[in-house]
Amino acid sequence: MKMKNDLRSRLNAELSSVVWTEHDRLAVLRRIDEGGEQPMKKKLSAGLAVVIALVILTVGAIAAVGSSSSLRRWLGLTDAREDISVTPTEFNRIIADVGYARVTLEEAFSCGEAVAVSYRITTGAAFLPLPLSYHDPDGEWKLMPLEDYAFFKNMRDTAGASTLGEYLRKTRKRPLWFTCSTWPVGSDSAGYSAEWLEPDGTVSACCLLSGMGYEGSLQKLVLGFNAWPDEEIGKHVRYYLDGAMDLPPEAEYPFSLTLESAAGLTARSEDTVSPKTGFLLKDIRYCLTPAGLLFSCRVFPTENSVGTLMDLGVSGENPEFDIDVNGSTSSSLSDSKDFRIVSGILLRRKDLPARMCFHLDLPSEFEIVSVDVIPDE
Amino acid sequence: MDTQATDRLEKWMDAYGTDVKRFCMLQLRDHGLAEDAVQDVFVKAWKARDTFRGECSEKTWLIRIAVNTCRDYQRSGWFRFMDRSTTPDGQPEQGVEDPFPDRTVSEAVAALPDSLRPVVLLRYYEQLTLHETALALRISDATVKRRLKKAGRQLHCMLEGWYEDEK
Repeated sequence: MKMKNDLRSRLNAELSSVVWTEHDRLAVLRRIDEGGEQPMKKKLSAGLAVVIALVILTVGAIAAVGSSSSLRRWLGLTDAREDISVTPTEFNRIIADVGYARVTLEEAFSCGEAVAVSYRITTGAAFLPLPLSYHDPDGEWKLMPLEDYAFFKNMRDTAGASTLGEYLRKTRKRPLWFTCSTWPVGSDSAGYSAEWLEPDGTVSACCLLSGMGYEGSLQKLVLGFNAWPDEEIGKHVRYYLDGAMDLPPEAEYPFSLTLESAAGLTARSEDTVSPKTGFLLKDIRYCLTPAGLLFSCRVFPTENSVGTLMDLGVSGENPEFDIDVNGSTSSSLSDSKDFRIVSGILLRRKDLPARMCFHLDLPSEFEIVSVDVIPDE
Repeated sequence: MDTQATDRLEKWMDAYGTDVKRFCMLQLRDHGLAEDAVQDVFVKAWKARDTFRGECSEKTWLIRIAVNTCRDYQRSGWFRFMDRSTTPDGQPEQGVEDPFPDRTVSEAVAALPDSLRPVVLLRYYEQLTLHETALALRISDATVKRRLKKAGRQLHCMLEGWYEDEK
């Protein structure tokens, strides 16, 4: 039984877009030059000093989010999951591409009325899982009240822009990436987060709104948003999602995430060294946000640092990282009886330090944790 | 970095970079991961360059590293966490005309079970010998044969009209 066509030449033809690039070559040489460490370790040891800012999209007024069950309700998830399943049908994968950073749609799935999509920053194996859900039967997502956010107010009052895309165009900022997200049934909110380069080369980030809605039926979600490659400013990109896809069994719904500049970070605890990984955790802070308790810290490698950070945030299966929560004794996240990781993302981007964000599920509350990966000086 | 070693690495990357990357792509079904993996392969190869004794070809040696690297990726919690059944990777980039839009065969190969896919890829795509395939996968020649046969049957079902013995 032989194939009519030569398998090798056929596969080569089908994979003709997958080629060894100069970027690959330089990446290998750079890693070797820096000791051949894994990308994350390389970043840790490379003397990078800037923290990637990510936006924590805490949208909607959540009155009482006190338990994981209320969290699930908030997310529109029921215990009996009925996978609507989502398959991108009309695919316009690239959301934003500015040469060195590109955001593409990775996958989409749904559960009940909650729909989640993941985006990928192609400069690294990073995913931004964000939930979306049906909201308005008329097909448009309502805007959340933004008066409390100084940035948005400034965006409207000063730049006269009503959307982030418009703001970036008007101010000639160069977008790096963005994600979009809406929130479950019952909340009047939708949003997107974005990061861009200021004219002076610094990186800024924020979250904002985008227009999204359903078209036709519940199972056809239309996400409309602006893509901002320099040459395509203002181009409206639409994604049509419908169809079927199984839910990853471990998925517990990543739901928020992002951002470093969440307002109101207040308390600060003492620095601590994780006994398990040896990483030094600094600047541990907490604050209460509409989405719950926000916890953040910075992670520094020490002489005794062990383990790879790559698996951090992966559904609690990889007990490779300790963190000190509320001043209690450090313990492994996944082994802990007190809490566990239920979702997470690792963001990496070429030539920039990385950030990990993950969501902890605790018996009586939940936390969104974001960890900056910053090199030791 | 010593110049001789660097030259050797550059030679490997030039000669086998695309091949190894495509292998990783077919194994991992994810362009981003394949990119990470192929870089890992060459970093590992560079680190282990002194252990290469020339008992097999350089390509076989690199592919063996690629097999192990992809296996490590597949074992990672993150890989298992993500459902790749509908990932759009492999689709042409927006605005770029796809020179070969039909992906029948690569999708069929990618759909093979993890135990069969590497055997097919090494033997028929990388064109290693039966014995080299067995060495790379650390299995016996007989197992390679058996898996090839099994993979052939599965591909036969998935690729109707692709086999010479079909009308």
